[in-house]
Amino acid sequence: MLAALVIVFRETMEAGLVIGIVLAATKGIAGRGFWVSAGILGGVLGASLVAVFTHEISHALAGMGQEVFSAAVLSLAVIMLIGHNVWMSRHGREMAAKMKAVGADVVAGKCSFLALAVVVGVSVLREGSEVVLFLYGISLAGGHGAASMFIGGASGVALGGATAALLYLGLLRIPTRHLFKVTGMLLALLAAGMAAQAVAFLQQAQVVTILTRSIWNTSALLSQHSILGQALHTLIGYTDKPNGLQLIVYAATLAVIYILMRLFGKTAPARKTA
Amino acid sequence: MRNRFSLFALALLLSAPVAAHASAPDHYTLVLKDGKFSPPTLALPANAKIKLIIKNETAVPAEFESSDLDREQVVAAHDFITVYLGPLDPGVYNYFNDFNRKMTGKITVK
Repeated sequence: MLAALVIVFRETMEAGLVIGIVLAATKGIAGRGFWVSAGILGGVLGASLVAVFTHEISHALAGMGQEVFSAAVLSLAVIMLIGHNVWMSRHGREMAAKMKAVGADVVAGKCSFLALAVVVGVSVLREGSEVVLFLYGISLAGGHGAASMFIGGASGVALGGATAALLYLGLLRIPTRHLFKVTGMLLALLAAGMAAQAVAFLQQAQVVTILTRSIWNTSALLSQHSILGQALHTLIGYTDKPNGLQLIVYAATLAVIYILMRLFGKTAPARKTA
Repeated sequence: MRNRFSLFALALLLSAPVAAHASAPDHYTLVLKDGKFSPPTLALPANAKIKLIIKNETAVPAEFESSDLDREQVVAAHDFITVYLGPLDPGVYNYFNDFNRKMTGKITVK
């Protein structure tokens, strides 16, 4: 039972952390409960589909289907995160001031939160498909051992949910006028980490074959596969043996977000005072 | 010709598995069966690109996971996956089935 709990918790924790940040980043927004729930539900459905089609995905693209699929959904999440951050750079101040649906820009706001719903969906899908397969395996084994494993699995999901709640409540302690700045930074780091992970999958699939050597190894200091290492891996993209291309893509993603936010963020205050 | 002959002699001198390696196989295989990976220790050459096929001959899904190799991939029941590794530095690389962590194995790279 404990083994099942640990395995399922490890998988759901990552999605839980992303959900916690997204909830904080949408504090006070009308209808965010709907968007986040839709993201989770879509993620669970997607995870079940991925689990059912494991064989097909594995053998697609000359056996590299799993890697390319992971890279693709991660890239989608990165684009959504960049889009949301750029939108927030225009409207964050307004939102912090009013803490309500942002009047005239409510449609654009919806797009931005649809983007975050996609990010939640991708996180749930990536981790969820493994949980589905694991629990399916247990159910095949049958017997009363299976029942206790299921209890372990359910507790693991509950703990993942608790992680989301803890991170969310922790972030809410930040004063409102700083909250969106902090969640914006967290989402940017999340995007950079996901981009680096996506490129690592493309390297594993031999789609990209340059700069594959690890630049450093901090696995003795903090293993990426310890609970803390895994949490940091999700939150800021911590990798204990990053290779050259991962580091470049990580830095480039942060740079792109920063530049786009500066470019598109400037006009908002001017327009507001007009 | 002479060269090939001496290679052949060398292969005969050494044991059969070494001879198999001398001919640089196109891929290596790990099989998950009866609750364990076989071979339990797989020897791979250093500084080469390696194609590794992981077969799951059990009735339940498995997940090949290794922090040493930075891989985490699901293998459906009665199915196989292809993983490209390397070039790897010499050393020992541990792996396990994340869906049943009692199933472990290692890869030695020389």
